[in-house]
Amino acid sequence: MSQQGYVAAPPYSQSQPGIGGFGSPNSSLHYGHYGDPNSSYSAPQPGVSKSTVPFGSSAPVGPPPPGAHQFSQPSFQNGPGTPGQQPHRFQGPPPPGNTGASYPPYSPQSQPAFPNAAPASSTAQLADQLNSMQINNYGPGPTPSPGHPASFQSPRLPPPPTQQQMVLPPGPQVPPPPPTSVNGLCTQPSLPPVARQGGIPGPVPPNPNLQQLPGQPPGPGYHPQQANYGPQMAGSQLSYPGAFPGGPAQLSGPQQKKLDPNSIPSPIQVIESDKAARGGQVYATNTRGQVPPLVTTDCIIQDQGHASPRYIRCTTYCFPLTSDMAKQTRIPLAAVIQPFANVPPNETPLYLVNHGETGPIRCNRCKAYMCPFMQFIEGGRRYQCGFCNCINDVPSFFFQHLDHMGRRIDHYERPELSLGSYEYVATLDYCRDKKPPNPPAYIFMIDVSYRNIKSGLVKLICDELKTLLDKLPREEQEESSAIRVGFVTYNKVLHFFNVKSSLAQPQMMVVTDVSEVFVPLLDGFLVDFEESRSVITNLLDQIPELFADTNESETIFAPVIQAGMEALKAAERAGKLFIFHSSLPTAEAPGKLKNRDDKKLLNTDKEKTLFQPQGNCYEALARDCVANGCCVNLFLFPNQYVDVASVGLVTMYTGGTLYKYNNFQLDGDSPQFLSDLRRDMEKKMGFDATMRVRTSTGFRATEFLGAIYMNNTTDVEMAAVDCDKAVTVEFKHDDKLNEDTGALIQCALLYTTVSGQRRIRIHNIGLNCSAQLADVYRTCETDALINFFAKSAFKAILSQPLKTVRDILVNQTAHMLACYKKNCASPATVSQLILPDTMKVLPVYMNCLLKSCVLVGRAEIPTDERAFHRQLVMAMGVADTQLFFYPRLLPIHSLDVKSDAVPAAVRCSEERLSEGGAFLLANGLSMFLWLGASVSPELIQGLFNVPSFAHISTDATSLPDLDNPFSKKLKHILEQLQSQKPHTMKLIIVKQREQPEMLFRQFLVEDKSIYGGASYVDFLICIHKEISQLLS
Amino acid sequence: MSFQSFCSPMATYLEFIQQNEERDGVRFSWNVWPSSRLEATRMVVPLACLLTPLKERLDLPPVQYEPVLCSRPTCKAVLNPLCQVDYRAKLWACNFCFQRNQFPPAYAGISEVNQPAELMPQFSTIEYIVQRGPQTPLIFLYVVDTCLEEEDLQALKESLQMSLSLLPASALVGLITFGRMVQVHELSCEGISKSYVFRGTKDLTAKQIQDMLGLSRPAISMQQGRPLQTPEQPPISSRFLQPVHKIDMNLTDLLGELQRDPWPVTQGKRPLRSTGVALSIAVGLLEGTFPNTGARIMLFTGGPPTQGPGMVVGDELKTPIRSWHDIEKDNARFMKKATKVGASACRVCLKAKTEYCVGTLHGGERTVHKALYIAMLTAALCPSPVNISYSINVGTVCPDIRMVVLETPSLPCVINCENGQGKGKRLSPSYFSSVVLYLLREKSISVLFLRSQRMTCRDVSFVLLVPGCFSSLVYCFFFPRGHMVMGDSFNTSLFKQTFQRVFNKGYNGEFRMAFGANLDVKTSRELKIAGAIGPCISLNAKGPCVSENELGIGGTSQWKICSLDPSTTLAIYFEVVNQHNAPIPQGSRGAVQFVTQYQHSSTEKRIRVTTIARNWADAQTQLQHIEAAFDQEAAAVLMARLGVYRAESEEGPDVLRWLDRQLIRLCQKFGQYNKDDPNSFRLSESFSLYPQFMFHLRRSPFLQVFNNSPDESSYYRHHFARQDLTQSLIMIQPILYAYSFHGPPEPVLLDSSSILPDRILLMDTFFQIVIYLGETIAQWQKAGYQDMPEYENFKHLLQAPLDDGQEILQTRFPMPRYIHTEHGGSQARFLLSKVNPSQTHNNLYAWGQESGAPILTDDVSLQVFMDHLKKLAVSSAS
Repeated sequence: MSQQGYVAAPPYSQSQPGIGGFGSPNSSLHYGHYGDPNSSYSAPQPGVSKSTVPFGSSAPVGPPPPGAHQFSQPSFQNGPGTPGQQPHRFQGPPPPGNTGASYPPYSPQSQPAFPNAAPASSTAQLADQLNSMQINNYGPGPTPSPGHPASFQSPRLPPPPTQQQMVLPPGPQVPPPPPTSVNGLCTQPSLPPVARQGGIPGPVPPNPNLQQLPGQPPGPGYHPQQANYGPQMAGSQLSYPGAFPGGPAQLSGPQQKKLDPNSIPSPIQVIESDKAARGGQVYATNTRGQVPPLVTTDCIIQDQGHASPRYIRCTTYCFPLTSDMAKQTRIPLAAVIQPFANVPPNETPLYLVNHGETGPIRCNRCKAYMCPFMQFIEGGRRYQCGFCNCINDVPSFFFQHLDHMGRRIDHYERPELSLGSYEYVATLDYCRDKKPPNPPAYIFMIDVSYRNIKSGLVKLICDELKTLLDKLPREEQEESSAIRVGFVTYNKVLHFFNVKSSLAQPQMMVVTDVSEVFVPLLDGFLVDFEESRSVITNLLDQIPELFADTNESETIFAPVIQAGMEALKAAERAGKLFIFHSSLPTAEAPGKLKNRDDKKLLNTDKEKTLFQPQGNCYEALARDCVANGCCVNLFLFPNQYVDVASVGLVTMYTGGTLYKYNNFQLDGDSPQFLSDLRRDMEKKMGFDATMRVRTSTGFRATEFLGAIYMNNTTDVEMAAVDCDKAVTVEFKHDDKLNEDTGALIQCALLYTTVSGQRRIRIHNIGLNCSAQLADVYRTCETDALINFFAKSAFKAILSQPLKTVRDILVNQTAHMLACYKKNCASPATVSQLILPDTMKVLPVYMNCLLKSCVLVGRAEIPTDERAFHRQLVMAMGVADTQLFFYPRLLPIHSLDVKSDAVPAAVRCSEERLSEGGAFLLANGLSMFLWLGASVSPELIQGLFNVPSFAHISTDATSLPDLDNPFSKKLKHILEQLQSQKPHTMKLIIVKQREQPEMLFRQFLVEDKSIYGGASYVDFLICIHKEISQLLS
Repeated sequence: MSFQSFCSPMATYLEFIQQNEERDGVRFSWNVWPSSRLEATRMVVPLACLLTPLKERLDLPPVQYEPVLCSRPTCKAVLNPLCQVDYRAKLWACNFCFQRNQFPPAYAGISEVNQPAELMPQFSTIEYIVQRGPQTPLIFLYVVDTCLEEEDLQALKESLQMSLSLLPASALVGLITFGRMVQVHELSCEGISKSYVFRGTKDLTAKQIQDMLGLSRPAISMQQGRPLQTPEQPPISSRFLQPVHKIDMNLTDLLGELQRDPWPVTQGKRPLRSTGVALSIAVGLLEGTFPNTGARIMLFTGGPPTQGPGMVVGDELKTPIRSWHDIEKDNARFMKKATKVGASACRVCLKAKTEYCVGTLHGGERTVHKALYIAMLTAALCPSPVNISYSINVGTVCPDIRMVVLETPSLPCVINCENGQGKGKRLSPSYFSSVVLYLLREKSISVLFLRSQRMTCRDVSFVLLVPGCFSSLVYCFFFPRGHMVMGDSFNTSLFKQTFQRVFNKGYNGEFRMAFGANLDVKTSRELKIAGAIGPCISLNAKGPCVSENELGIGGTSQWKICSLDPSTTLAIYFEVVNQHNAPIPQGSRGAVQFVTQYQHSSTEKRIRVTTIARNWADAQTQLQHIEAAFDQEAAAVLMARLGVYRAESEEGPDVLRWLDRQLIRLCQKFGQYNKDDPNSFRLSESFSLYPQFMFHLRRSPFLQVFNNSPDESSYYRHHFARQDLTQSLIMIQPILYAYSFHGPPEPVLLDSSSILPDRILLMDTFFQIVIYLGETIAQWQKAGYQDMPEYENFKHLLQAPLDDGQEILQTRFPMPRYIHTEHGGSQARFLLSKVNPSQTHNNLYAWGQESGAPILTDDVSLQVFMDHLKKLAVSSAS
C-alpha cells in the first residue's frame, strides 16, 4: 500500500498547483493550498485506514481506540466522513483525491506507531544515552498512545512564542486538552476552532488553514515514509525507534492543523534578538561561566582570561555539581574546541610566549601549562595549580612579587597570566626525535586518468597551480613561504616529478610497483617553489599534454596516499597532500574498492556498514599518515559511486578536508572548485599536532569527536589542523565539583607552524558549577548542543542502527526538556510544553538534525552524499553546524539597497516564500536563489539582465556582474555569506515550480521533508508527548 | 698436413704448433695423442686445448653460404678437408661418424679440380655467413651506478657520452641507472624525461618486471622471421631501447642531467646501492623485448651492492666488507644470500652454486684489506632457457684516497698513502694518523690495518685495527662472460681508455666483439669431451662425444659464450676413451671439430668451423714422440686454469697440493733420473720450462689470496680465464726487461738478482706495467742528468722503457695499471712481490754479494723449489 501510495501520489508535483497559492502574501491563502492535499487525504483515508489499523494492531490497540475516543473522530472524519467533516477541518477546497490515497494510511498508521514509540523509548535506550527515562503514558495505557499525539497537538497549537522560560505554555490557553491526554484528540476535531482561539492568543487567525497547512506538506512527503515504517513500527510496538520517523508524521496529520507555526519558537527570532542585544558590542571574557553571544551574532571579543568563544564554546557554562545532577538533566557536558579558529582583524591575534630553552612552565604533577588559573602564593615563590591543586615552585627566572591583591605585579605583562589563549614556543623536547622540524610540504597529486584529462580538469588544476603556488601560507614576517612543494600524477601507476631547480626540464619517474609503493627520489621532489619556479611552470605546462592521449581509466588510491606519506616521511617533514581524484579505485592495488552501494541495506541493521570503510587498508593507512604528520586533502570529482566512506576515511582521520564536486563540469563548477582550492591552500594551519585537554579535578574529558585520530584515550592526534576544524570534547564527572573553584578546562595544542616552528597553543576556559538545575539550564548553549549531538550521532551510526540513533536523540531531547519542566518550571503548567529559554530552539534544531540525510536513509539520496555530509559534520565547528542544520533563508526581493546590512533571515519554511519574491538560501555547502513565479521583472532585469522570468537560465552558477546597486548589493551579500565558510557554496538558481525546486525544498527544514522528516510542528508535538509521558 | 711432424725434430714441432695456432687458433697440450685411455691418464697433463674461437685472421674471407652438415642427427658435423669425398658419386663420408652423405644439389659441379673452399686443406678453419632468422641489431644496455663522488660521476658521464659516438649507428642502446632505486629510462620521450623506478630491495620476477615496464609480450614475435625493416608500429621496446642515431642527442642530454643518487647518506653509512636489482631488471627488460637475442649489459659501478638481492655488505660502515678470512671462516653474513642471488636474480646458471671464491690466507692468521679497491663486476647472464644470452661489461671504480698496507710476511709493514693518481708518499706518523682520521671522519671510510712488529710508525698503536675497509666486494663469478675493468676511479685514464677500447675496431673496421656465441665441439670416436674452462656456460647438450668425467664445465658438448672477442680463449679438455686392447691403426688420426655460431658485430649470423687432426701414438712404444710433441706453454696454462677453477670451490692449500702433486708426477713420468738421486734429474727440452711456470703460478694472485681482497682475486681470475695463451703466460710469469748502458734492452730473469742499481726494469704482469729505476739510475735522475745535453744518452735510456711501456698500454685490454717507481719507492712492491726471491734477507748476507736486491720474504725461491721438486720426483717412496 504504502508504496503505491507513494508512487501514486507524486507528492511534489501535486502540491505544486497548490503552491501557486503562495503567491498571495496572505498566509491564509497558503493554507488554502494545503487544504487541498488534506482534503485529498481524507477521501482515501477510509480504505487505507482500515488496512492500516489491522497492521498497526500490534500497537493497534492504540489505533482503534484512539479512533474511538479521541482521534477516532478525526480519523473517521478523514476516512469515511471526509465529505462531511472535511469541510470543517480543511476549509480549503478539497481538490483531487489522488494523493489522498496515500495520505490516509498515514494518519492512522502513524498513530499506532507513535504510541509505541513512547513506551518503547524507555526500553530500548542505548549505551551512552540515558535509558532511565521511562515514562508511563499519562493517558490510558495502550489506547492512550494514539491519543497522545492528539492531545499534544491541541496543546501545542496554542504555543505562542512566550518570552523566556515558557516557550510553549499552552497551558492556559489550550487547557482543554491537557486534562486528559487522550482527550486532547477528541477535542481537536470537535473543538478545533475553539481550542485555538482560546488557547492561542493572538496569532492564530488562520487557524483553520493552518491546520491543514502543516498537515499537508508532511502529507506528501511523509506518506511514503510512513508507509514504509508503518509495518515495522507495528511490529516493534514498544520500541521508540520507529517512532521518530513515523511519529511526527502521524502527529502532523491531525495535529498540525492546530498549531500555528508562528506561535512556536522561532530560531530566527532568537538569533535576531541576540543580535539586537549583543551584536557589535565588545564581549569581554573576564567572568567565569559567562554565556557568550550566539555564534550568529557578530561582536568583538576581548580575551580577559578565558578563551574566546571562537576557540571554545561549551554546551553549558555551568556544570551541574554532581554526576547525579548531570544524569538527571541529561544535558551533555561538552566543549567544542576550534583551536585555530579565524579571528577577525579587529581582535588581537594570539601572543607568543618564549621562555627560551627552559620551555613552557608546567605543573609538575598534571603538566598543565602556566595560565590565569594558577594561584601564586607565598609571596610569589610558589604557585598552586588550578587543575590538580599541586603546589609548585616558581622558576627563578619567572619569579615576580605579588601585589596587595595577591596578584603578580606583571600580571598584565604576561599573556600566560592574564589571557585565555596564547602560544608558547616549544623546545626540542616537544619535537619529533628532538630535532627541530622542517617546514612542511604540500604535495599535489593529480589523477590523470582518461576522464580527468578529457574533462579538462587536469589542465584546470595545472593552470591554477601556476598562480596559486605564489600564495602558499607563510608567517607574516617572512617574505616567502617556507613550504616545499612536490608533484605527483597517477592513474594505475604513479608518476613522481623531479623539479630540482638545477634541471632544465622536469624529470618524470614512474613507479609501477603499486603493491608496495615507495618514493623514488628525495632531493628534487620537494622543492622551494621560488627556486624551482621555472621548472615547475614547465612541468605544469606539460602535464596535460603528457597524458593527452591516455586511455587509462583505472585508478589507484591508497598507494597514492601512501606515496605522499612516504615522501613526507623520507623528507622528515609534516605536510599536506592535495589529491585530485575522480573515480572508484578499481585497479589492482592495495585499497582497491568494489562498488558496494546497496540500497537494500537502507533502514536495516546493516545500513551502518555503508558508513564504514571497506577493508582495513584505509584505517591502517590513516594511522600511518597521522603518525607521520601527513594530512590528506581530497578533492573528489565523482560522476558515480566512489565510496566516500572508504576514500574519505584517511582525510577525516588526518584532519584534512574533503571536497566533492558531483558530475564536475568545467564551465559551471570550476569557480567553486578553484575557490575551494585557493582557500584551502592559503589556509593558516598547524601540522603534526597533538592536542591534550586537561581539566580541574572532579571531571575529565571522556570523548573526543572530530576529524582526529586517537591513539590512546587522552591524546588527540591530528596530522594537521586548520581554522575550520573543531573537536568536540565531552566531559564526565569523576567526583563532586566545587562551586567555588568551578570547572576549569585547558586545551593545549602542540603543533608545527607553516614555517616549521614548533609551538604550543593554549586555550583556557573556566566554567561555573552549581547545585541548581536552573543555573545549568540558564547557561546552556543550544548551538553547541546541536554540534555535540550531531557529532555523537554521526559517530554512533557506525556502530548502531540508524533508527536507534534517532530514537536516542529524540529521547534525550525529551529528557532534557522534561527535567527542566519538572524541576525548574512552575508546577501549574503540567500539560504545557515548557522550554527553557536557552533551549527554545533546541527542538527545531534537533528536528533538522534528525532529518539530515545522514540519519535518514532514502534510496534517492546517494550513499556517497550521506557519507560526505557525515564526514563534514564531524569536523565542523559550532557556527558551521548551526548553519548546516538550519540554513539561512534571506528574502532578497525587499533588499534595502542603501543599507549595508544583510537582511534579516526568515524561517526555513515554504510558507515564508512568496510567489512574488526571491529568496537566497545558504547552508554552508550550497546556495540557492529561489525565484517566485511572479517575481517582479525589474528585479529579474536587475539581477540577470534578462527581460523576464522565462528567460532566466537555471544553468548559471553565478550571477552576472551588473552595474546596478541591487545586483551589487546581492553580490556583496553572497560574499558575506561565503566568507569564513570552509566550503565554497555553488549557487543554484531555482525557479518556482520547476523541477530543481525539489532540491531546494529539502532545505526548508521546518517543513515536512520529502525524504521523510517531520515538520517542526509535528516534531514539537512528538516531543511534547514524550515529555508528558516522561513526567506522568 | 702434419705427417712430417711424426718424424720431425723439435724445432719443427715448435713451428708446427705456431702454425697451427696461427691458422686455427688452437694449442693442444699434446700434439701427438696417446692412443689409449690408460696411457693418457698416465701423461698427467690431460689432453686438452686452448681454443680462440674468433682468432683474427686477415686471410680468411668468409664464404657466403651455409655449411654442409652430416645428415646423421646425432652428428651434424660440418663438411671439412678431412672428409673423404667421392667426387663421382657426389658423396662424402663424415670423418666423425663415418656416415656417407650426399652432397646438396648446389654442389653438383664439384670435382677434384673444382673443390669448394671447405674441402681445401688450408681452410681447416673457415667462416660461413648464413642468412638465418631475422637480423637483430646490436644491443647495448648501460647500467650505471649513481652512488659516486661528483667528479667521478662526471667523468663517467663523459665516458658514456663519448661511447655513444663509438657505437654503430643502428645499434640499440638503453640506459638503467641505479643507486638506492633503480631507474629504467625511457628514451623516446620528448620534453620531460621519463623513467620507471623500482625499489632497490625487491627481487622481481621477469614477468613482474615486464608488467611494470608495460612490456606485454610482443605478438609480432621474432620467430616469424620477418626482417626488422618491415614498417610496423615501432615495437614496445622502443621506449627503452633505441637506435643510437635516433636518440643520440636525447641520450647525451639524459646522461648530462644524471645526478648523483639523491638520497642522503648519513655519516657512518655506505650509500645504498642496488646492483642486484639493477641487473635483474636489465635482464628482465631484454627478455621482454628481445628474447633469444645477444646483447651487452654494461655495468658501471662504484662500490659494493649494499642492499637488496646480491648485497655483499650492509650500509653500516662499521661492518667491514668481508675479507678472504671471513669467507673462509664462513663469517660473511651476506655471502650465502649474495651468491644465491647471483644465481637467481641475475639468473646465471652456473654449476658452482654456493661459493665462488674461497681461498686461504697465507700463514693463516693475517688478513690485509686493501682499502679502496673496487671491482668491476662482469657477469654474463644467461637465463636458463639456454637460448638467451647477454653479457655484462663492467667498469667499476671507486675513487678516493687509497690507503694501502703492504705487508710482506713477517716483515715490516710499510704504510703508504696514496692519492688517486697513485703518487706514492711515505707518511710520517702524525701525517698518517691525520690521514686516517680524515678518512674516518670526512670520507666515512674505514680502513682495516694489520699491525706488524716493525712498523715505520711505531707510535701509531691504533693501527692495529682501525675500523673498516672501503673495498667493495663484488663477487665476480668465476666464469664471467664479459669484460671486467678494475680501477680506482672513473676519472682515470685506466678506466677511460679501457672503456674506449671495448669499442675498438678490428683491422677491417668492425667491432672486435661478437654476441651470443654458441660453441659446439665434435670429436672422433676415440675421444670424448670432458669439459671447458673459460667465459662460457654449459648448454647441457648431451651426446655421444660427452665424457662422464668432468673437467671444468662438463657434461656437455656445447657452450654458450655470451660475449666473445678475438682474444677470448677457452680451455677445452678431452678424454681419450680408446681402450688399451683396441689399438688404433698406425698413422690414423683423431679429429676434433669446433663449430662456433655467433652474431657478428655487423649483425650477420656467422659460423666458424675449425677442424683439426692429430696423430695417435702408442705411449708404450712411442713415448718419445709424444714427449716431443708436448706443448709446455699450453700445458701450463691449461693446468693453471684447472687449478684456478678448483680454487673457486676448494681450499687454497688443497689446490696448491694438487698442483704440486701433478707436477711431481709429470716429472716422474718424463724426467730422466736415477732413483733417489736428485742430482741426476733431467727434463727434456719440451718440458724444461714447465716447473718454472708452476712455481710462478703458485705465487700468482690467481691462487694466492693473501694480500688481495676478494675483489681483486675475482678480477684477476676473471681475466685469467679468458685471455689467450700468450697473455695468460704473462700473467703467470710476468715478463721482465732490463735497460742499461751495458747493452740493448734484454729480457732478464724474473728474479731478484735482476734488480741492479744501474738498470731500469720494465715488468709486464698483464695487469700492471711497472717501470723500476735502479738505485743508481734513480739518483742520476734526481740529480737531473737527463736534462743535461751531455748526458743525452741517459735521457734516451730513461725514455726507452717508457716508450715500450706505452706500446703495451696501447694494445692491452683491459688497460693495465701503469706504475712508475724507483728503488725504495713504495710501489716497488709490485715488482718485488713478483720476482723470484733468490736473494732474501735470510741468505743475502750469507752470500755477501752486492748483486741484486734482497726481498723481504719467507717465500721459497725457485732454486729451493726446484731442489725440492727434484728430490720428490726421484724419491722412490712416492
